[in-house]
Amino acid sequence: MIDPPSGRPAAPAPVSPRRAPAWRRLLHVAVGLALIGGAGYAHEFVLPPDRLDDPLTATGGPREEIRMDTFSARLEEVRFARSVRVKKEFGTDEATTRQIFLVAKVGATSVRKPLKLSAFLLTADGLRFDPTDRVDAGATLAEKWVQPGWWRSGLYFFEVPPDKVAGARVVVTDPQVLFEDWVPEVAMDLGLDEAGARRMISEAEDGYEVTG
Amino acid sequence: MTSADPGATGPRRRPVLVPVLAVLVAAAVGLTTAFGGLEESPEPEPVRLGKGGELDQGRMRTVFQDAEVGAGQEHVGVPDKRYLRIVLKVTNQSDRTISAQTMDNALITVRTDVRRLKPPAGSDDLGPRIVTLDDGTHPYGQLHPGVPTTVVMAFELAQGERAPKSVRIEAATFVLTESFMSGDLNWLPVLKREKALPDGEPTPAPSKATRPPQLVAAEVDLPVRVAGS
Repeated sequence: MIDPPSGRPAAPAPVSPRRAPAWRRLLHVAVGLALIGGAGYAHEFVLPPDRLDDPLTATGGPREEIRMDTFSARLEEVRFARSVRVKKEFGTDEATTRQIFLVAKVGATSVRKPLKLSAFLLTADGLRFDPTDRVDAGATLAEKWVQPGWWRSGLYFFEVPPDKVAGARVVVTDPQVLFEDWVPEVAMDLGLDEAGARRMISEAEDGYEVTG
Repeated sequence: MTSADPGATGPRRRPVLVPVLAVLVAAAVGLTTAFGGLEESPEPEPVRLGKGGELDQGRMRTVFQDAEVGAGQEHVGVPDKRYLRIVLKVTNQSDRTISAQTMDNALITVRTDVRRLKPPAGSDDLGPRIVTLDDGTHPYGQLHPGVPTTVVMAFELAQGERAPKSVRIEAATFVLTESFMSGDLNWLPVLKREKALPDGEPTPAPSKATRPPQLVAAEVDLPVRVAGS
């Protein structure tokens, strides 16, 4: 508002300007608070930044065929071993551990093109174990081609403390899409509770043999 | 906007903002002074550890068990050369399997009473071999989460070089840091703060020989045994 050039102010403003009635002001406050609250609540649905580029995971139980866009996989068998022998052309490698070897037999098939699938073991408390380097990768499914049209089975060897086995999952992923968003992965539950894990580990065999 | 017209009606406001600000500023200055001013607090001195000492490095927990000089064994090195072997017990405290080679970043420098072994002086030095050696015969390379594992770090000694009597290791720590760009969590080494140089002093050119600016959390002194004795 600018004073007119005459220098004299306009007529004095009314002492009490017209204000909205109290109930309308209260309503405005209530609507405002509801909007703020709603906005805060909507943030519950926003993924935290560290989860935005998480893989797309399909989950299932043992012996269940789990489908993903580019491949399907199923956990066919779980065994435990105190030592693993890899038979090679000129001799045998024997691997031992102070923990326990978890041998996961996984079947897989691809949808469109041949794949090599890598795996890791995710424990109930969120620890991620890579396949052990004590067993040559050549003896595992990681080094074998999974092709469209038929299923093939192979092994993954993990070295885990026996008390971490219950509730663990074997996760299989296609490492070739590492730098793309939405890495597809298949998480297969071992289906072992504390008692089941203890029983199977107590029956673990010595010298599990595999050809490499 | 119009300025307040002295003739206008309405309650006259007391000038309360300025005194309140003045009190707040005075309180802030007073508190800052009381807690030692804006000078940066000195960086923590490295912890001194000896044989058997244990250090929490964030990403891993390390026990400095032994240091020995001896011929290469079948699993680390070749038998006709001598090596300084530093034996550690490492527990991976992160949530996933890491490589034993990570210990290369976790131990910043290694010096003996003879010479500096790490970082290497020449470019023909490939650095230490770092393996896990749980059963004593097979070298492997993985540190699984939560599993205490024996790690051997072996430095090759030159032909005819005097066997060292003691070794000093400077150990770093890691901290789980959220990436600014992606929000991912990564273990990053704790770095030294940049020291302001006095006026007129030229900034030293960065060279390969200068130490990486990791903060030294601990200095570990180990006596060196001769293997087999």
